[in-house]
Amino acid sequence: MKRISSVLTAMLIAVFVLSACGTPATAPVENPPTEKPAATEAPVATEAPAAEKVLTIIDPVVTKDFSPLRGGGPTVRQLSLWWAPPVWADMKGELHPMVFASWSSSPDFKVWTFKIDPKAVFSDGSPITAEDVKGTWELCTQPLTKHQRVSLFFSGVVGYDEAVAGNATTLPGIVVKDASTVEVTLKASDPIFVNRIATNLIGPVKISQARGADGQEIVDWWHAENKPAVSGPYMPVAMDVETGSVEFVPNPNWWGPKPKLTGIKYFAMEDGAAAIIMLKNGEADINMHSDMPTTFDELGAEYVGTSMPATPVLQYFWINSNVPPMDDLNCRKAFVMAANPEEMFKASHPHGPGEYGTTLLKQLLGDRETNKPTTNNPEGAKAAFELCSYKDAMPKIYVAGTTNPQAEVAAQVLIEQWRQVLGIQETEMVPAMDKLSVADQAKVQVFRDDVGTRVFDATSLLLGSIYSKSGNAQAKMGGYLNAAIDALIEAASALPPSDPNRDLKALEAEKLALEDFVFIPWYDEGPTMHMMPWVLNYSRNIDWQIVEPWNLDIDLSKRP
Amino acid sequence: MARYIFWRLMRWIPGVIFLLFIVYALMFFGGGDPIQIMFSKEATDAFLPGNPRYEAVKEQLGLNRPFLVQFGDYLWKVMRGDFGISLNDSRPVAKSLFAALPITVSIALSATAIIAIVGIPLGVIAALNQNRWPDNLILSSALFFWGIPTFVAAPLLMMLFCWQFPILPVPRGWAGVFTVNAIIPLTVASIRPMALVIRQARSAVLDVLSEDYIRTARAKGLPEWVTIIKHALRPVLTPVITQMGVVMTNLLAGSLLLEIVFGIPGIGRLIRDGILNNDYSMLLGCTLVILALVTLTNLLVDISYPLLDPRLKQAQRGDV
Repeated sequence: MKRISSVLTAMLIAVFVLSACGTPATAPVENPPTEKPAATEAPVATEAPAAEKVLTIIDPVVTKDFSPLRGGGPTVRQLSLWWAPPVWADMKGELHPMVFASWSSSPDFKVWTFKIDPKAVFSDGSPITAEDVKGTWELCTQPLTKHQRVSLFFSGVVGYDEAVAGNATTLPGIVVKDASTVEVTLKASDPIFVNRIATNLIGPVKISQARGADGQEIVDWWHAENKPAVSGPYMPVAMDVETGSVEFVPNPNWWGPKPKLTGIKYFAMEDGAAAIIMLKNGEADINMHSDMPTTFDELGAEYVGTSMPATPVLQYFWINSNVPPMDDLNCRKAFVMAANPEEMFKASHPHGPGEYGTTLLKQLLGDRETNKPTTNNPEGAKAAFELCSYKDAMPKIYVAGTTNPQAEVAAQVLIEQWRQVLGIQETEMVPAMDKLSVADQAKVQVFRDDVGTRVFDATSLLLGSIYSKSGNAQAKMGGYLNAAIDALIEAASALPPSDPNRDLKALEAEKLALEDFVFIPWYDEGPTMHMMPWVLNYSRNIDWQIVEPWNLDIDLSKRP
Repeated sequence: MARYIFWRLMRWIPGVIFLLFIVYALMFFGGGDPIQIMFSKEATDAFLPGNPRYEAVKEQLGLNRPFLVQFGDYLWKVMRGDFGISLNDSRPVAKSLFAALPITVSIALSATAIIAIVGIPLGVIAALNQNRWPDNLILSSALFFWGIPTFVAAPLLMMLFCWQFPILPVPRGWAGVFTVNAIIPLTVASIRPMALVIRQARSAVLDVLSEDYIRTARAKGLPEWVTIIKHALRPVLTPVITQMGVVMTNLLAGSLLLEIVFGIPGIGRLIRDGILNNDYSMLLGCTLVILALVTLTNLLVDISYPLLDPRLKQAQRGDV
C-alpha cells in the first residue's frame, strides 16, 4: 500500500506542477492601467469611474496570428483598434485623412502623391515615415506574408507582378520622395486609387520592427511581448495567441480624437451557447460573429441588427445566359419577373439583418434616381413565359450555391414562386458544384453568390459583378459578355469620381443588365452588429473593421 | 525493469514513424490544398494553381516537392527537435505544442484523480451493497451520466450554474486546476468516464469477495473494513488501474470537444485547427505528442502492475 500511496502522491504532485506550468492564458485580469491619469477624464455622471470602462469583445474564431499584414480572415477583425489606415472612409463612403493628411494625382491618374500627417506617430513616439509606408506595402506583396487581398490595392502598382511572384522584395512603383511624402506610380490610369487604399488592411507598420534583412516579415514581431509600435487609438499590453486574446489600453501617442474607453479585452469564445450567456451576463459586450438558431430569442432584434454601410454585400442569384432555357431572353425574363425578393428575404431572414434586394446600385446611389427593379411582376412573367421557346420542353432548373441554411430557404421560396407563377416542376438545389457530375455542372442555370465593393463607387461594383472580365461574370454567370455593358463600364472607370458622368454611365450599364435579365436580387447584406444595447458608437465596414474606434463607448449603467 | 522500459520504448519508434507516414499521406493526398485553404478565408483573390503568387508561396514553403521528399525532410527535422512552422499561423509548431501540452495533461491528470478518488469508492460501496438501494442508485446514476455526451453536458452545466443560478463565471481558457474556471470543465471531463470506473470497481470487488482468502479472513473474525481495505482492495486495483489507463488515454487524446466548448487552448484544439487548415506540421506535431503521452500512460500502467501484484514481476522480466 505504501507504494500505491507513493504513486498516487507522485501523480498528485504532477497535477500540481503541470497546473502551475499551464499557461494562465485567460485568467481573470485586473483592469488594464490607463496611460493617462483618471483625473484628466471628463466626468460622466451616470457611469462608473473611467478606470472601469473596459469593453469586452469576443470572437468565435481563435486567432493565433495578429499580424496586421494578413489582409483577411478572422485575424484582422480588430485591426482598426490598433492600426491606423492610410486614409479612412466613413459609413457614407466619404474619405478622411488619417496617416495621409493630403493626396493628389497627376492629370492622367497614373501617379499619386501622398503627404503624411506630421502629427502621425507610432505608440513609441517615433514618426510614421514614408519609408514605413513603402516598406509596409512592399511587405504586403511578398508571398510568404500571405496577405489575403493585396491585389485589390496594389495590383496596378508598377513592379507588383514581380513582387507577388516572389521575384522581388521591392516595388519600384512606390517611391519615397522625402520623409513624409510617398509617390505611387501605376501601370494604368486609376481615378479611384485613393479610395482603394482607404482601408485598415494596409495600414503602415514600423518597418524596422516588421521586416527582416531578407525582406520578409519577422515572426511574431506584432506580439505584445515584443512591444510593437502601433499607430491606432489603442495599443496591446497583453496577448495570448493560444487563446486568441489581447488586452488593449489607449495609445498615449495617438494623434486622433481621444479614445473613450480605458481598455478593451478581446478574446475567443468558440462555443455559441457560452457566448450567449456571457453577453447576457454582461461578461461580454460585442461578439464579432455569431449565428445560433436561438440568437434572436435570446438576445433580441437589436443584437442581430446591422449597420448598413455605404458598401453593402449583394446576395444575388446570378443567371447563366448561355445554357437552356436561360439562353432565351424571354425565358430569363419570365424567371426573373416571377421572383419576389421581398418574400425570399422574409423567409430566409425573418429578423434581418439587411434589406431585400432591388437593383445593383440602389444602396450605392440611394439618394439619387436609380433604375427600377425588374422582379415581382407575375403577370409580366406569365406573358414572357408564353414567348419562351422552352415552354413546352423545359429542362431541369439547377440552383447552385445554396451553401448555408438561409440560402437554402431563399432558393426554396424562389423555386416555389417559379412553380406558382410559371408552373416549373423539375428543379434541383445544389450546395456545391462538385456535387454534380461534370456534364450536369455545365447545365447549371442559376448560381447564388455574393458580390460587393469595398470602394464607395458604382462603377467598381459593376466591375466586380457584370463586367465580362469579373470573376462573377466568368464563374457564376457562365462567361457573361454584353459588349455594350462592358463599353459603358470601361468608359465610366476612366472618369474621376468627381465627374457625374461616371455614375451616369454606371446607371446606364446597369439598365442594360436589368433589361438582359441576368440576375435575381435576394438581399443587401451589411455587417451584422452582434452587440449588446449598452455599446455605443459601434459600426463596422465591409472589412469587418470598427469604424471610428476612438468613438467606441459603453454605457455602464445599462450593463448587468 | 529498465530493460523492459527500454524495449517498450524501442518498439514505440517504428510505430510512430508508420503512423506519421499514414497521417502525412492522408493529408497530402486527401486533405485538400493547404495553400488554397490558407487563402480562402475571406480572400477575393483568385488563388489557384498556376497563379504566380500561388506557385511562389508553394515553392517558398517547400510544398512543391514530391511526397516522400517532404516526409523525409519532416522526419529529419523532427529527429533534430524541429517540429517545423505552422502553415496556418506561421508560428513554430513547438511553441504551440509546449503551450498546449501542460494544459491537456493537467486536465487529464486532474480528471483521472477525481475519477479515482470518487469512482473507486463508489464502485466498492455499490459492490458491498449488491442489489440493494445504494447499489441501484450508484449504478443507475453512473448509467445516466454515461449517456450524456460532452457536447450536451457542457452547455447544460453552463446554463445551470452560469445563467439560471449564476454562482460561477462562464469558464473560458485555462488558468490552472485550482481555479473557479476549472470547476465545470473538470466536472464534464470526469463525470462520464467515472461511470466506467465505478462499474469496473464494482465488478472487481464482487469477484474478489467470492475468493477463498476473503472467506478465510472473514472466518478468522477480522473486522469487515479490515477485510475489505487490506485484503480485497489490492487485487481489485489491478483491473481498475487498467481501466484508468484507458480513461486517461481517452482524456489525453479525446479532449477536443471539451477544449472547444470551454475555449481551453489544449492539444485537442490544435488538432482540430490542424485538420481544418490542412496544416501538416501542426497535425503531425500533435500526433507525435499524443502518441508519446499514450505510450507513457500505458507504460506507467504496466509498471504499476507489479506494485499491486508481485506475481506479475516475473511476467514482465520475460517480456522483451
